[in-house]
Amino acid sequence: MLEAERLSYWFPSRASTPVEPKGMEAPPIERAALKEISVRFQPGEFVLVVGPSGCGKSTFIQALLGVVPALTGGTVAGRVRLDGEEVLARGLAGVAGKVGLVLQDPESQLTNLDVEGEVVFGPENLGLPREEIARRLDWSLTVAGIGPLRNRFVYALSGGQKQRVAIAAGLAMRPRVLLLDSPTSNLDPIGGEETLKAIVDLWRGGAVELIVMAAHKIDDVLPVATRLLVMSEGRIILDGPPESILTQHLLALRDELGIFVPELCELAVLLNAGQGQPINVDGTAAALRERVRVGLALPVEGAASSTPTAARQALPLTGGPPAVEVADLHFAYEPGLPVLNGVSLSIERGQFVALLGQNGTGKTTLAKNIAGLYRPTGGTIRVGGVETTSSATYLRSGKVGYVFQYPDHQFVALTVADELAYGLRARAIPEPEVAKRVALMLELFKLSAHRDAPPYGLSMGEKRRLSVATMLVLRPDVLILDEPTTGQDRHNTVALMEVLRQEARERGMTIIQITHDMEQAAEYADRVMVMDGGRIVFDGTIEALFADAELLEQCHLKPTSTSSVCRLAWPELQMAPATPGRLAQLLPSLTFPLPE
Amino acid sequence: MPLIEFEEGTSFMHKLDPLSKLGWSFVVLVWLLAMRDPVPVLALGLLVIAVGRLGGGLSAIELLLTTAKLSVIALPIVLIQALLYPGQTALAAGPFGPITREGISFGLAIALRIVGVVAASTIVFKTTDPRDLVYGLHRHLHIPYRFAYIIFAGLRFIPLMQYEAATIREAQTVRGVYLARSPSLLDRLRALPSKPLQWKTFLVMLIANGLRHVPASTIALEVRGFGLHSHRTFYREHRVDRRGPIFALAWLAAMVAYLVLTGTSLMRSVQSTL
Repeated sequence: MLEAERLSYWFPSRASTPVEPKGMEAPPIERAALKEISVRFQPGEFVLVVGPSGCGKSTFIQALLGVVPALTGGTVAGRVRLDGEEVLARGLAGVAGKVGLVLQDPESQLTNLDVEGEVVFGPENLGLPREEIARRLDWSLTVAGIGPLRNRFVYALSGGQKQRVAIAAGLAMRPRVLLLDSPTSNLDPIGGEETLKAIVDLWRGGAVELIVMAAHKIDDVLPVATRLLVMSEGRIILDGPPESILTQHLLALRDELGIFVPELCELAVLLNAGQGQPINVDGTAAALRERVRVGLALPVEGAASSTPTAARQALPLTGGPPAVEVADLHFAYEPGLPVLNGVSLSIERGQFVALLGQNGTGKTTLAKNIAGLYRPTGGTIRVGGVETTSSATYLRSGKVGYVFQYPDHQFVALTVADELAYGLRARAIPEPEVAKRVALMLELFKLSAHRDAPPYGLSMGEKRRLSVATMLVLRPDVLILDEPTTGQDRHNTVALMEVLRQEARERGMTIIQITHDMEQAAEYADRVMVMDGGRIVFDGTIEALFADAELLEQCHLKPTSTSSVCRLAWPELQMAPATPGRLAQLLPSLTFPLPE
Repeated sequence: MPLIEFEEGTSFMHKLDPLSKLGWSFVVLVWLLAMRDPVPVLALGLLVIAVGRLGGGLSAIELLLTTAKLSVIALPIVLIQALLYPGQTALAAGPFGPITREGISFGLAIALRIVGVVAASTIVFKTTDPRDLVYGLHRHLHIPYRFAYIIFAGLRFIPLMQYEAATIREAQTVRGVYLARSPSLLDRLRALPSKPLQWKTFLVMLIANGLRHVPASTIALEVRGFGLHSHRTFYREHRVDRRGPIFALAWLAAMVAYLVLTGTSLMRSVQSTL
């Protein structure tokens, strides 16, 4: 149906041509973004494509569509065929109406004002009769589950709703193939769930014949995927049934390639669960009970994603006021529409706090109030014991750092080194000290080779590291991060989180991280706070949060797979371990049944 | 919410076709330009506001507020002309010469023209569905759809740019770009020389972030067959109300009549040419 044959692609350089001309040598294959990829896709498949950042997933998806090199330029070799017809030579004109595409950023791919206009846009461009357009409109809205949104303006929709509009707009072309490039990366859990459900439903219902989806995290879609492609450095290195690949190559995928392996797979491999059967919570829980029954421990090195519990314990540095103290905080963007409704909290120095909750619950608003970007309408904020509520932002800048979700919003300079130096110079730090700190950050965040490069020319992972570095160079007492690892692979994520953890331990820096990633919160946070309706509804350990099923449901939060497996294995266990590493540490002391 | 946004409605102005409304706003522009005295300019501006209120069902206060926000350059123009325009009737001493009645009058006329044009444009955009505007430009003025769509795309991305502008400003504040926002007046005055650089930093980042969306938007358009065929269907039905051309022509006739009767310099030059 869709196939690539010895497909190679080189990004544009000065001497690039769209299609390899006869008689000219192609550039060296080592410099190619895609290296001689040959793969065939059949109707009925749901294919996942995974790989570390920069491996070529997105480029591969775009090549299947003919975007590359028609819109991007560059040099291509090999072929892509759809039902026997060449794709690359014909460009997008050859696939319009046959292949649909959903991109990562819900904002950029919607090009009309309203939902109806967005969905009918493609069929209108094809010159279809109005009656046919009307039929496709109704069908697409229904399949994507967005019928009630028909007359809404696009800009007023949530991220998940926008992605479903993008899916509906693609479906209205009645494609046989749907390509998706990390469609849930930028969405909150509810948005991600809605989007994935729509994708799975339309595949199961036969609305499209083939789905090829690139993703970083595949936990929720793994049960339906029929095939997994693993990419590295522009090549497909593994191709086969997902669970088989994940279980046979788990450590290599996780630790060497830096791919996020579903936690359930990790546990199953550790417990030798599954063994050819589908991996699920029930089977893994049964394997865990059996292991405890016969007195076997878990191999700690296999669950090496965690640091020992002792190091994770809260590190309140004794003496001195709390790092952040908020008392009865109120805030509203507009009168009569409160966003924060009496928030109170106290965070000690050196603590790593995860701030959880669905979009719209007030997390970012609270964080921006603490950073001084907003003035609360009521209540007080103290940073290091000093009341800052009525101070201008600049009084706090340097004391409280804030890393925004999209690094592009934060850059102000023309080179990486100047970017790091900017905040220091703005605060009149002497130049020798500036040079020293900049050099330290370049080394710590592995940006030395890009010292004189423009920030916008960096890769996404490098931009993210730079955005964090620009705050850390100021040595803030408190650092607030808004989804700092969105769209990053495991290597980049772990590297960044370890740097933050180190700063918290060595300097006593307090970290407040807004995140939707429950595994990450379980791994790194000393403490979690959950917001709902503009209030903090939970403040404690993540294990205690996962023990409160009612609260989890109310706040639309899901526990980690480890927690779910442990709860199933021991329903009487009050505080189930939340990560494989903690389970491995705890296991030697567990017996079955549990002691009184 | 964008600053100027189409508001659904069933008023007289809502029912007129977009091209007639654009024609009407053009007549208003020419009429305003042809008048030198601020009093008739003000009267015409108030008439335009009345059209928006009575004919468009728009709130007069909201219309005035929106117009005021978009006419920020009007006040400086009055001040500049009052200080610099050479006139006969001195009212007070100024730093560059006497402040004259003629200077104030001239400045007011320019400022009120700006306000009037902005008010008319605001009424057009608030009562015109952008989809109808694009349809009208393509079907009746025969502007290729790809170009007519540019207006549409601009409107689509305005809310996004507003959001990104606010986020960039916050992010740069955290970085220290706006360290000058001190409660101390002395600090603020000292920081004035750095304001142009701060604005430059802000605008460069805003543009760079806007360009960030271009590749994905381009791909999305191409995948949905934009520009693939010379002929395309329009799903929405567009009916042209006869009152539109009548309305625009009536204003044109009124303008011509006023200019002839009052003998403006514009009409004199047209007459002498003929």
